[in-house]
Amino acid sequence: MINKSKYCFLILITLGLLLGLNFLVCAAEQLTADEIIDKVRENQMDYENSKTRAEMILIDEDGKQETREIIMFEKDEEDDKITMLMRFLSPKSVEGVTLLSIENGDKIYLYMPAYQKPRRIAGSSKQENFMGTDFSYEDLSMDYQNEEYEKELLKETEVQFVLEVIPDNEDTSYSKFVLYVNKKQFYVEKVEFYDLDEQLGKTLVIKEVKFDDEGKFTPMEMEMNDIIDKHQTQMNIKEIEYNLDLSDSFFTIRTLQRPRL
Amino acid sequence: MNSKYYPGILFLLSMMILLPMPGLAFDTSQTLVYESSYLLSQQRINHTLTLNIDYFQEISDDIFLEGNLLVRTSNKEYARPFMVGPNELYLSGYNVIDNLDLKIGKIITRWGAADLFSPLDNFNPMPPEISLGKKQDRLGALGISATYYLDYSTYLQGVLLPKLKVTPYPDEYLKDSYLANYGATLQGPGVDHVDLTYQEAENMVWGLRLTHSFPSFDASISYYRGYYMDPFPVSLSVSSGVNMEITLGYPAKQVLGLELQGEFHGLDGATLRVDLAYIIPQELEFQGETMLEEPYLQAVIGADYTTDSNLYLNGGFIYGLPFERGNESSLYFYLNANQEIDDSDFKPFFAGVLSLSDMSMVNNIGLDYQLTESVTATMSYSFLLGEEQSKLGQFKRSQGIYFTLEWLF
Repeated sequence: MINKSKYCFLILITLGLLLGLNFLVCAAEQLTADEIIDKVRENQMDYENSKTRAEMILIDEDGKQETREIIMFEKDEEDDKITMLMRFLSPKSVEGVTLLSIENGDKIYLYMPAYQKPRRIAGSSKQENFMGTDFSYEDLSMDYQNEEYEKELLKETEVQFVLEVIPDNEDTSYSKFVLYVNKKQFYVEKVEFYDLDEQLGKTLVIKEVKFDDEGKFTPMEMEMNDIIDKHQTQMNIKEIEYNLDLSDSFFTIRTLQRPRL
Repeated sequence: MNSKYYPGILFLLSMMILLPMPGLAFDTSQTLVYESSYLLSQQRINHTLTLNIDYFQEISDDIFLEGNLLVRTSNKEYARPFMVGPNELYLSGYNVIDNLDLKIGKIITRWGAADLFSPLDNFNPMPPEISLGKKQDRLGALGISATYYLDYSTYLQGVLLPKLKVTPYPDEYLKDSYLANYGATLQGPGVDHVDLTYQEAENMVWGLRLTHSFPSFDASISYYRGYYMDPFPVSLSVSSGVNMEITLGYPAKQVLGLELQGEFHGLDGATLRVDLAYIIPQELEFQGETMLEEPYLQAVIGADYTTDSNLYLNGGFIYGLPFERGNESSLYFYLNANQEIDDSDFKPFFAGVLSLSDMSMVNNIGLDYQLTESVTATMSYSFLLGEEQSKLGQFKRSQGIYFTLEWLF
């Protein structure tokens, strides 16, 4: 028979173990902002390049809609920078208009068939909206998870982490982003864009996400809302392919005028 | 409507029915444009109907057949009642030889960073009517364009046209102009008829252009060796006291060019576009007057900028318009403005050029209206502030009201 003092000792040990384990579990759950972003990155598709076919639906304040089809190629550059080539396939009024954004918009070229020559767009005009959509040139190449940006965990709800990201570039037109990260699957569900006056200007909402067998996610439906202009652009991915056999010269000015991509 | 326009309209309608039919070997997209104008100088209404067919066919992954067919019927003064023909038709090859892209056929090659009146844009003429339009269309010319990419930021382009493509001024228009300028007043009261003969350009037209992309701007240097695309009177004689015989020629010229476009300090949010041309003309004298002699400079320096309220502005300075040569070149200020209005299908615009030497000014003010996703209507009024003899006086004959209906299908 176990005497009383031994019994008390066992209870204390068991409680200690339980408390210790609980402490360890809590420590594991209390992730820092950087760790949360790292986990989001881990869950993102890892690719050298991608090809996306999508439809963009532009919706104005009165609910009037305009649908555009696009094809978009992306290439992952060094330092996590993205080079992107995007062409409108329809409607006829914008067919063939092609945008090339090199390394997160360091250089931007726009080809409009009517002009018959590529036009360079100044980096400082990146905040202009692209072809009537709610995405600015800057938004199309924005990396709001940039490793060098200052990040802070604002709060944690039952389902989301809410992070504040402050860009350090002088040439960005945003003062901060607020990211809402799905706590279970570690993907960004919503981004709030604050202008230089700290006012909420736009929100990007990821409405549908597709996961592959390895748990990597691809956003399939998203909508960009311009709070001030009360305008919305929905982007629905129709088809996406990764790691295509594309030459490096594909993502240069020479591709802008190719009749078929 | 006069019956001479019926075949043109009939042909145009049959093309519109046939082209969208499935089973054609090439991809097409069409634009049907109806233009109407009431010119104050003529006191009449002009109608033009144009079908523009863009087509392309993929021959292999890297070789394409591309083109643009123009079908037009018009009752404009001096215009042909009906015309049909390809404005462009060429084979394009991408990376057929390593780092080399080619275009062969009837091509359009645009040089110059400026959107308006670039003095470096010398391979393809504009249609005879000078306009302040947004696109400034060009006419295709037979030739080869080859672009060799030295790396991802630097490329060398060579263009060769075996024969000069000239601005297709109608003979009747030129005859009337020369009769007014040199007829009765200079050659005698009986002169009432003009015969024109043309001296063709003898040599090929060619040019080289080297472009490099710097971190904040792109720069090109270029050399062009060719001819003026507008005719110059070379000799004049009068026979039988009534007949004026004028020989027209296209003087040679060389153009050394510099283009810049991109971001420059002090112009935040704006894209600067600069074209500088140093033009070396062939000497030309006519009726004892030196028309071309010394090299001269022409330039366009402009910037485009979009305000927070979606007002697109493209403005700057032009030193030398296309119809000015040699010492005639003078300074102008130009402005293009387009306003996007939230939740509205109307888009007002303005285009204007102001001569800073005599303050004459040509203006084009109008409104675009998006009827449907593929149909746009435009109404505009063009007017001149200044005398007919002023720097911009030649725009006086295009004063009037313009209406355009454009359907993309």
